[in-house]
Amino acid sequence: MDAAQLLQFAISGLTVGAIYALVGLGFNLIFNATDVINFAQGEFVMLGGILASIAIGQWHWPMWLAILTTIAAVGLVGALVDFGAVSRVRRGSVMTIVMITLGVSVMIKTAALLWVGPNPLYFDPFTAGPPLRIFGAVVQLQALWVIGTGAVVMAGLGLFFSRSALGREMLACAIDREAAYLMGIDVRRMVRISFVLSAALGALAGVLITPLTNATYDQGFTLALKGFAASALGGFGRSGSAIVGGLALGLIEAASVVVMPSGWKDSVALLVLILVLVVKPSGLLGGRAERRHTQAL
Amino acid sequence: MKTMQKLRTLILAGGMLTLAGTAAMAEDSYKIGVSEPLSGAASSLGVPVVDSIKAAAEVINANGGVDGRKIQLVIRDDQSRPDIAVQNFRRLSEEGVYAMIGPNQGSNTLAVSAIVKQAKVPTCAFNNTIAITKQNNPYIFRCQTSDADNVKAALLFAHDKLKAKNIGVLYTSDAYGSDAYAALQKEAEAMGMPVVGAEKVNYGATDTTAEWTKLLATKPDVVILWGSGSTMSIALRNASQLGNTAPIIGAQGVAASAIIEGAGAAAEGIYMVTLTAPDQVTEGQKDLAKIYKEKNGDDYQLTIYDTIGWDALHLVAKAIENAGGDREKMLEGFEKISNYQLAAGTYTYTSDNHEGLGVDSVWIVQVKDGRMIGVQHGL
Repeated sequence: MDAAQLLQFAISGLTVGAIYALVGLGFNLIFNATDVINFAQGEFVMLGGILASIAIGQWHWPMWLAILTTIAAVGLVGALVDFGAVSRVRRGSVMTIVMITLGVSVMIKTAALLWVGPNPLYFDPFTAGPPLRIFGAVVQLQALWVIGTGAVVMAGLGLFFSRSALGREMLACAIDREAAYLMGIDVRRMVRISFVLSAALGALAGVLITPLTNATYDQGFTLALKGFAASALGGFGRSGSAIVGGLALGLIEAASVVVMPSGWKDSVALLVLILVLVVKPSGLLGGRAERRHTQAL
Repeated sequence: MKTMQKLRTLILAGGMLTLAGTAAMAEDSYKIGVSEPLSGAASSLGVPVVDSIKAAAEVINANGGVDGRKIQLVIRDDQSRPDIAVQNFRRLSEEGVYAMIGPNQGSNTLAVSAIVKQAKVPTCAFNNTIAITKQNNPYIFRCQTSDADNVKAALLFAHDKLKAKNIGVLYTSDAYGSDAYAALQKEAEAMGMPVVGAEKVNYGATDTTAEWTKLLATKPDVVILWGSGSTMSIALRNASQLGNTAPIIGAQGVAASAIIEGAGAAAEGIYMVTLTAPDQVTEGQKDLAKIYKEKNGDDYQLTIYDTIGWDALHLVAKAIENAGGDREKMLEGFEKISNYQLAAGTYTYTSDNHEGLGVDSVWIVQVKDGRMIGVQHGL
């Protein structure tokens, strides 16, 4: 194993990790506003990938138009999920809403299968051309897009939650829903906005990763699992945690391929997650774990 | 009121007539059960297979059926699920079918095996899965190539044509990949081609760069890629991004147009082990190709799923003929089929060989300008 190969493992770990991070960001967004883990998050990512593939590959739309339309369309799906299901539950516990998101994820997945069938969809990377070579290791150009956009989105979300009135209202809902309500914050509106935002963010993730991963109707669950693991590893409730957790998870997976038979990759990654959570339940960065768990609505 | 009563009598009479009709039909026709995935994950395989079974039934019936009796298909959807497949097989066997055709997924065939054995209905199963004929169940007949033969064909091609001294393997960790890998290890050793590297990826994995890096570090002469689904087109792209120059031989699961298209330029030049070469029409495919070209235009190229359904019903018809129309003798009827040339290859069954097709029916195809071209037929 020479240095170029080790570097290659690190780069492929970071590429995969950036994908997990991007998916994990969406989890954090809804969690921040509602305390709910949205199990349909992976489906938002899958929908983003599939819609963009169809718009670019089959309808031959210009890429920017396809991407914007996809993000808007999936954002609308997020609004519908809240309008049609989540907001209908009065006094539902966090658990009820989690179960609703699970049901929604099955519905979206089945609809996608009936619509586009089981074959993988794909479109070409944003920037054409051969991959970059750094000291003999290969970097895919699309991976740079994933990492770059992930960093921009994380910075944007950080500003949104700390500086904007809307972001702070959302955060207030998560910290104490009843108190936020008594302070005149429209809790339902905050929940709806968080669903729209995280669906749009999921769609953006789907659009960015499809040139690397393909888009298939059944990949939502795997992506959600890894994104969830990334958020948990970093610590739920902070935008930076998904990035740190995602990159760490990707690197752990790549490292496990170096030292172990490759079939163990996923098990090793999840084992490390469990170990970290046992030692430090609030994640690597420390989330808002001590916070009281409130009623969802 | 009167008219209502009349109407009711009419409907009743009509119902009786239809009942009598089916009864008469059932008496002088051979009922064949078909249980295939028409919905769910495997529907892209099941739908064309059922179409080709129907095409075969039309042709057989138009030519007078089997010994003057028509073939009647009873088609059920297994929804790509083992539990529904089991239900279908139980119901169809209770309806007194002469033979069963299906399922399309290896795991579903293993699930229905016990019922097939209990009901004693010969079954044509469309799987590469090595284990389906190793269930101590004499009623299961493979209407596909076994992966034992497919890996043998891939290795023979690597050894004889590509002059490989050693090989590397990238395979999926599901039954499809790992069973084939187990067979491949033994076969490669017997041929004196050491397996220098073998890496496993999960079915549905979205990145295989790390596994390829480890595999290519062992410098294999030829890489064998065994798996199915979206991961295979990602694997082809990753290999090309890493600058792999070793020839790749893919499994039947790789030889799907969706996977080749998804891999784009990265699929160029790769070889695959399959049962049809889209650009060629073999002797046994002539009738079938004619029907499909009339239906879908002259440019239509037969896929593997168009051929295996057609073959399965012809095999069943042959078995009924061999059994003299006696349901009790269907097993012997199947086991008497010998050197029967059909669309996917030449079938032979005996009491201790239920594999049907062998390496002589395998096609090696290669991707050229984004299309699959036949390179070699039979190894």
